[in-house]
Amino acid sequence: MKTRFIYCIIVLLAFASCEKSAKHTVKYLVSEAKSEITITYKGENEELSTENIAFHSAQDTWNVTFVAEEGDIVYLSAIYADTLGSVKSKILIDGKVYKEGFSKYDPQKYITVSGSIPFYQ
Amino acid sequence: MKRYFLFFVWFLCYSTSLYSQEGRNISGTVIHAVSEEPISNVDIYIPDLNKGTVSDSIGQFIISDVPAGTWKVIANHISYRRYSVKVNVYPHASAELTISLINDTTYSLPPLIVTDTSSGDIITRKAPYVITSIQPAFIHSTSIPDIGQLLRFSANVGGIRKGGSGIDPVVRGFRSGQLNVQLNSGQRIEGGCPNRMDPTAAHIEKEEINSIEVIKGPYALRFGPSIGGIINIKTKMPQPIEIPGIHIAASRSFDANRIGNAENIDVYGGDRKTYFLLTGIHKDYGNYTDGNGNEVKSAYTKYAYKGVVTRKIGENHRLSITYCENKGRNVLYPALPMDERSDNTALFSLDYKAENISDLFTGIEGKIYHSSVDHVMDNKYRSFSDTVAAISSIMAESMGYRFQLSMSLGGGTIIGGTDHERTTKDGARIKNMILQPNLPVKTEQIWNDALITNYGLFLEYFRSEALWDFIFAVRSDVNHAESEAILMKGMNGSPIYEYGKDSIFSDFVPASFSAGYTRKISEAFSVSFSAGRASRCPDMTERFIALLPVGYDNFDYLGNPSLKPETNNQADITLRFKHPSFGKLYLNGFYAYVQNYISAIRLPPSSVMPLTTGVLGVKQFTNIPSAQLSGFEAGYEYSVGKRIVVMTEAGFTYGTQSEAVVYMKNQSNQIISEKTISNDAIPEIPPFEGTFTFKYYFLKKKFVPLISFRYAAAQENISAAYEEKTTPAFWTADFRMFWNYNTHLQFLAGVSNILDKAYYEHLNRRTIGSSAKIFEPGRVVYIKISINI
Repeated sequence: MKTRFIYCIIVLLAFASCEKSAKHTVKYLVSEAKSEITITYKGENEELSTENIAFHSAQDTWNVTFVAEEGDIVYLSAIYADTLGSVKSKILIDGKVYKEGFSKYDPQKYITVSGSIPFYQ
Repeated sequence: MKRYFLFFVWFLCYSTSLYSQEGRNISGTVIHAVSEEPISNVDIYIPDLNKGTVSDSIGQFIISDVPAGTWKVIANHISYRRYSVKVNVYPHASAELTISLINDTTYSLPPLIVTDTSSGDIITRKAPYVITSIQPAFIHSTSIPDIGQLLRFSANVGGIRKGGSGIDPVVRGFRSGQLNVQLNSGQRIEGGCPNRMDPTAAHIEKEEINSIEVIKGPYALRFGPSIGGIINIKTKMPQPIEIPGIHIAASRSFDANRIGNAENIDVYGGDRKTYFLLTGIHKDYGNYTDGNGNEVKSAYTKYAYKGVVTRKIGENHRLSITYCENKGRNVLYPALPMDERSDNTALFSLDYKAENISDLFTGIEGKIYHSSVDHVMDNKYRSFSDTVAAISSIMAESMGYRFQLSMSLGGGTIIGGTDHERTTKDGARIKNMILQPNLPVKTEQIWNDALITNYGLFLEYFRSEALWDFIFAVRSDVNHAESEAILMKGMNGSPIYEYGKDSIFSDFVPASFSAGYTRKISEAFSVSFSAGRASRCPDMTERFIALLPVGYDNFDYLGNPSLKPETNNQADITLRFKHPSFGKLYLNGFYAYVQNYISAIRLPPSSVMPLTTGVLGVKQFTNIPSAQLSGFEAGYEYSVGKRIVVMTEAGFTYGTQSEAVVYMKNQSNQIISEKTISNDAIPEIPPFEGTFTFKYYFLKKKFVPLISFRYAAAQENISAAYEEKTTPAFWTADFRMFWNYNTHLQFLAGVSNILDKAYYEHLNRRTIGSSAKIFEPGRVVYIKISINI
């Protein structure tokens, strides 16, 4: 009986030490653009992708969602061609805004928001 | 709240006493015949009753429900001679015995002097040089989670702290490549980080080990080239089991400062011929808080699992296979520009041992091993990662063998053999410029197929007589190193710096020798003298590092394939006195004269510019004519009756280098001139340190409270060339109590740094971006429960 009792404690100890998951949902959101823009982003598995998107009105948006792990680099860059253009970029992690930026009539004509998914949240 | 917690602990301890049982038992303690140290994991059994048990961490055992009569009790341990005794058990009384074991004839290290910081025992043996042995009783009865930190408890052994773990040992002022740190008498592990965030000991968990031996000085030449000393980390090994079955040892500890747990389970099994050990470890610690209440970013998570199987081939031969994986995750290093994101270490070893082969050949030992370290670091937890996310991925591999043959010759033992080590490293740092459009990436090579091979031949002769002991050792190595050219690329992929146009290589054939003599003046007093001259070849960092800030000071460093080996000429004198009415005392003094000491000097900016932002320039490793180190160690132990033990131990090292360059700076922190000085202090040497321990045995050594004090003097002997800062003196007090309730259940509880003092060791590095040193943990309350079945 005593041995079984101790055995149970050990099994409980072993289970108590299981690792918790460190996955997070990342969403990139681009909005408030007025013309065609080039979006470069790091998506699933940290792969870099580039897309050309034509925005027709300020209400148009572009977004992509994927799952990433703590420490993964998140990167979203939007370049507009028009001198009087604008663009707003946002990174959300688990639904909360992590980074955001807005560029309007900027001579450099781009906005980049980036970082790493924080640890120990 | 605190009161409730204490009550809970008390209740937990009290309630377990309900499980105690009465009846006829055979109980006792297993100790070493010479040192009287407790020996754990000894298989003790009564063949006629088919009953048995295993001694616990303090050597105690109990075999319950033994019928009255005379029984033969056998004790068996892989490293000791088999022990057999007849025990009378009377109808209404239990029997108690002390089992004294003596080492096998092929004990892996020559038994010399052992200073055991754990139990307060200073054991005097006839031998010429100093071995400090940290025993399992200490290792598994402290809250210290790191092997490097454990080593700090030995006299004249310090550790360089860069974070919460991975403390890099310094022995008598020797460090890094000057020390030979190995696993189980021969296996080497090369860390991945050029900044030594993962020295050898960082790839092994405390829960895996059985003991640590520090052989000080350039004397033990059969364990590999070393000028400063050998640190031999011995892991737990399976034991032959007389009655086939399985034993489980499990523990869980909680650290209230780091808010973390460590869990460990060991499963021992098998029979007399084939036996195994399976180990699992999990540790998860948060940041610790220092004595000022500030959080030090030192969190980490580690896992490990290991399997060892041993097969006895005949009576005197055995073969062991060991495989172990150690994994680190999110290990923080506030003193370094990066943290360890992941580390996957795989260790394999095949060991053969034969004993008592014939009157002439007394033993054979062989080992083949492979160690691989897949180490990934990044700066993602740093503020500057918002502009540049840098990731370094390094693969480091070591493989080799060791073979030795022992023979009886001329009244002594001669051991001859050969060893080989092949170390490779490859990896790069990738910088993602994450604020720029199109995510430009810059690749900087850290190691480019760097390789060091070392072949060694060694011979050692040892003879022991009633009044004297003599040891002589000689060793020769053939060392070769090479690397592909190291190339730094800019954002557009074009080279911006290239170190070595073609392959870089260097070759050496160093020779080493040592001798020692012990004279027994009287039954109580002995004098030992040892002298040695040993060389070690430059390590991979010193040869091949390319523009990384790997030193103590604020410079980028460049390797130097033209470096010559360092040669240490050292002498030790050791006095030992042991008398029942006086206690045990040892005193050691040493002097080391190191030729071609490896230091570094600044290169003119016109020849090379640094790559790291904010550093003062580039230094290149170079040989300076010499360095001198001298110092002492002393220890005293006294027992008052059978219950009280007091012990004190102290050590000090003073070191200077023959020449060094001091750099003068303007207000903008730019170097404007330099001056060569003589006899500058060697950086990163701990100050005078001493410990005092008081221990009391209750309940036949089953309940042992212990209080210890540690004092470190101010360190004012600092290096001007390395811009070292002085460190103030400090003292700390620790308390712990160990309760061995029975052979199945043990409790440990304690408080370290009782007064919650804010202090830092001289060897603690500065927090990066600050001039402030990393403080040590403040008050740590901890508890540990161990179960053996």
